[in-house]
Amino acid sequence: MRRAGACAIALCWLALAGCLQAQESEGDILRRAMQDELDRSLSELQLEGEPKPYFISYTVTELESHSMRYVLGSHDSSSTNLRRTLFVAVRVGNSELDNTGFLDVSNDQIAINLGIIGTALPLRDNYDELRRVMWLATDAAYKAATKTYSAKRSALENQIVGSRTPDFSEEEPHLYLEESDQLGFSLEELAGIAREVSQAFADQPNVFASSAHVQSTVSSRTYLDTEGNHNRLYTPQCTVGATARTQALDGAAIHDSTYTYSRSCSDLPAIDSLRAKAVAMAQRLEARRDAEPLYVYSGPVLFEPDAAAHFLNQVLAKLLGATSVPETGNPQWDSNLEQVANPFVAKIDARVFPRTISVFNDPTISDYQGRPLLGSYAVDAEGMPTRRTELISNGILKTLLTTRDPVNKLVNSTGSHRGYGNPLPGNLFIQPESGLSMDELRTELIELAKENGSEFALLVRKMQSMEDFDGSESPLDELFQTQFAGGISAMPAIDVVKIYTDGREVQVLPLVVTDFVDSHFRDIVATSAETVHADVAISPFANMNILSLFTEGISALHGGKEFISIITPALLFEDLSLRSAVGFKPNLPAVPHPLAQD
Amino acid sequence: MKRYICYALLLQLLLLGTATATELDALDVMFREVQRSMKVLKRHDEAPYYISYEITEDVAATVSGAFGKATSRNFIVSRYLDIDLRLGDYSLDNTHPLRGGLSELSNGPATTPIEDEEALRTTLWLHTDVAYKQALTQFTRVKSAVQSSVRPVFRVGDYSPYPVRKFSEAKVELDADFEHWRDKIQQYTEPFSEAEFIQDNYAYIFGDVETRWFVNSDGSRILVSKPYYRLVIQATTKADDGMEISLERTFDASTPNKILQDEQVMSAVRSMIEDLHALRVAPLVEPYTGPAILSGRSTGVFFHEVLGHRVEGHRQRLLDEAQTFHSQLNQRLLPRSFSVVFDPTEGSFDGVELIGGYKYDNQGVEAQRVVVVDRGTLKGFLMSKTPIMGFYRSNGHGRKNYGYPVVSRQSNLFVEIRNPHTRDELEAMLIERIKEQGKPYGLYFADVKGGFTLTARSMPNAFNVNPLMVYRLYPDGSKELVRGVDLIGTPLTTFSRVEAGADDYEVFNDVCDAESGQLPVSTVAPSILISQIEVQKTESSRSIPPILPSPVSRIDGHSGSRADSER
Repeated sequence: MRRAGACAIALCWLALAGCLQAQESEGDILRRAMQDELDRSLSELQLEGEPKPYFISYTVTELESHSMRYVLGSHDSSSTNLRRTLFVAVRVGNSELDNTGFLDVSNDQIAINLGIIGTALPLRDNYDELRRVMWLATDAAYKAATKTYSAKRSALENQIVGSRTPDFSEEEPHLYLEESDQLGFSLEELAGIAREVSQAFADQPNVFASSAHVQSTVSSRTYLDTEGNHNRLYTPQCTVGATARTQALDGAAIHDSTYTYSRSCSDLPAIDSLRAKAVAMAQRLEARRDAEPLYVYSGPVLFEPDAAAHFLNQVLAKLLGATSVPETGNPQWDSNLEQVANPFVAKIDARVFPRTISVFNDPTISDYQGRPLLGSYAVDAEGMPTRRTELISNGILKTLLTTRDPVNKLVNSTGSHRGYGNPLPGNLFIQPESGLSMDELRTELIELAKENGSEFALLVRKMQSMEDFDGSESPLDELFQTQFAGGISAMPAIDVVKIYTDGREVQVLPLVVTDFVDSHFRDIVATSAETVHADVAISPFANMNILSLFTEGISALHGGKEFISIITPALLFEDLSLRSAVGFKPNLPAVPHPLAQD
Repeated sequence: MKRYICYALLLQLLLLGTATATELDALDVMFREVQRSMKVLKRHDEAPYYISYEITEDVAATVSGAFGKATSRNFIVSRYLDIDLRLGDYSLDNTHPLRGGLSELSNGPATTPIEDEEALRTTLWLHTDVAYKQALTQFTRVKSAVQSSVRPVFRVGDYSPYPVRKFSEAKVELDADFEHWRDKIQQYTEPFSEAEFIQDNYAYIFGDVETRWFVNSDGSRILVSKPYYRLVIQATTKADDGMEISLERTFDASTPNKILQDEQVMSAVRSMIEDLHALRVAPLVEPYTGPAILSGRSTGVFFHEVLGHRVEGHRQRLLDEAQTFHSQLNQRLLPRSFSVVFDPTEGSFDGVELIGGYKYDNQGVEAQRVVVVDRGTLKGFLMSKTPIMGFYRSNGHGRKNYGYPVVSRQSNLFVEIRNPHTRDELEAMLIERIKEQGKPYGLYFADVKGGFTLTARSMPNAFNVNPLMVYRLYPDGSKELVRGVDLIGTPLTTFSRVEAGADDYEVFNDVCDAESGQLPVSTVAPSILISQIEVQKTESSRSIPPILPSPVSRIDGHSGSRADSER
């Protein structure tokens, strides 16, 4: 990326980064305020007749973000934000039985315990003011915790409770302090990128709407708890996105998008490369205009590596985290919640993948094949260190990722709290024992089609990205299609081709996988030898377990955007069901595109 | 310090994009695209008889803080496109109201660029197509519903023509100095950190320049640009019984300097702290009916809720609305000394700026003075281009925020009193009423924060005004501050008990939230006497005060005291 011409604004940003660094090295007022209020609250905070807190944690996130959106080279909108937030978590009772993991459904009302309370903090460190905010937030969190604790004890007293898994794990204290990186990239340059990339769609009247956006964020997170865990992280991120939409010739709405992520905007690829990526996407979109509809399909499906990564992010990532079913004290509710429990929790030591595939998570690895892995991180949102975890060995599920909320026999954290409640991977490696070339896989796909007595099989080249929901062109139709697909939902496959047994390829309109269940992973009959790495932004819709929504809410402890890096080969499923993801088909535009007419 | 300098530069950079907007004649591009769409769509079976485009640009900055410290800041530039496309004709079109119609699934308002002709035309074209298709679907439903329902004796039509208007003014630039605003927020909120009984504090300075480009297929072309700056200061305390008590002061003007008047703001802050201190120990009021005086600000909100929303024209034609005043036209609503006027052309009153004014509404109609109540008699309604029985022409009150359809909304509301009493006379009259009614006291509503009203026929047609400061006024003339009540009632009954007004006019500026979004509105009104009002207990959190004492009071003499802990 060209760095010259950054002028005063880049210098300014450098100074800004310097401010961030200076704040932390200068006396650490924030740390002292956190520690003092934690100490006071732990020793003195108590309501009459209620237990004291046995654990309190403070997380302070600071987020500075700049974003710009351009359409056909013209500025459309922009924003800049700076905020600092304190999150307080309070546990009362003891680690065997506390206020967490409980859903109060008494009195015909669901009282969702958001568990963690967030409040605005001053941008500049002032000991008194920090203490005042922490005092009030802790007071509110403690009162909420005692209320839930009381309701939970009451509910459990009325039933025969067998052996319970403890509510909180015992861990060794961990200290991890990062220094901020120097950043240097001007907003002028960011605007230039968005402008240039958006111009990739100029002279393309068959692309009805398009935009490009750039977002740069710098987030920091400081964590301190009453057990001595303390960490401070800095996470710069840069996103360049381009989206385009049009209508197929039969009226179906089709769209595509492309995203490039980097740790900082200085690490972005050259602007020509970013523009070329957008041009290629626009060309693919235009080529898909004469795609055929396919209403239902059942049979073999081959996911190319990038599509496989996005598919696995949506259907596998959340299954790899151990999430407990909240207690309610209401048998009907307990039964209902069991229905949406993670099926993998009951399948440890059982085969969940083909024998030829192993899966591990390792957020400590910082790059893969020379490219940084954005899913790497050192410490999770509960202050726990990350580590490599062998999840699936030769098809057998060995363990699951965990937070400090124990689930059955999984009583220690793997450092996998990403700020969304349920544990999630960082860098997820799907490792085949051996693999085929893409040509061989394609041949295998055709053979499976023949065995099925089918004229064709499906090849998925691209899945819809959850990132598209951040833009102003949110594909609500697709979300609706996904919600009614049954099973574990995944966004539609937007670039799909029929591969006929004679080798012909015919593009089809978007499809959504239906009734996908965890046992489908065992139907992976072949993989490619080559693996690719895709960074996928974590989204509550795709990655959050509904049980976590009930008990944690979307706590957003992460501050900025978090990623899962998925390293996977192409995956050939023997038998999947798909149906058309095309909803309402409006007529083609009644008035010609203004540029086409000109 | 460096960080704030950075933000000043950042602001300049981001504003570069908006400055270039004036280089392109967006009105001309928009008008050509409207004409092209009308021309091409005329060839279709269902052709639009009217199209308008409105682009709203908001350049907005906010700095917020609490207890003497800034907590966040943001800056946003956004441009949104709204299209009004109508099929059929003025008598019956696709916007015809249907009972119980389902709302459409929407992706929200469309953003649009405005600095480049190709980009702007492409966006207009795409969203015109979307609007046309939606209109086709709506119009099919409307025609079917009209055919299958009982034909009304007289149908007033769905839209009305209006002469072509052309107006353009210079685009105003946002005057946002983040560093200065941060200093002011810190200065204005610092006193709250000294008052230990203040539990919560929040303040922000908000600056916004709204620029609107409007064209329609009749030929109107309008460019208006309006700055708006607001300072809001809020503080909360908790009484010993757990009741949360909040006070809020707002300052509104068209330039930042006018809202950041140190003497005025600091006086308000001191008064808030004193009032909160007094309110903490003030007695609770039980539900009560009896005579009351509303201050000028309270009267303004009272009229806004009770009368203002019920004279909005569209409520007289929507089938689900109670249409309270529909049949009251030319009948007495108020004493003969009372008149009520809406006038968006007024910019200020007695040196105080009014934020409810504008030059043109969102349908390209110039702002107009409207007498709604003349000498106590209801004479008219606030009109957009949607006609109602007896009122077939807009009077410039078709308003909306971007992303919403236009409805008739309030602007600057003036309650005018002929032969007014003095404030002392009004109090004397109140004491007379107290004695006549055998009440132990009357109420004086000194200040309010806002209110709401229910106008649909599916629920009680009531209003609720939320006071900030209420006093009991005893027959001996003494006053006692009280807390915990809302002023409630139904419109026709309450209006029939309005007796007299004084000459102590006050301005109340606020943002009104209704069907067409949040819009700035103002009221100018004097104190009034109502022979009988009703109050009910206010809804409020009753959680217990914090368990531990404030850590701030404990740390005097600590190494981290305020003086040396600030970097």
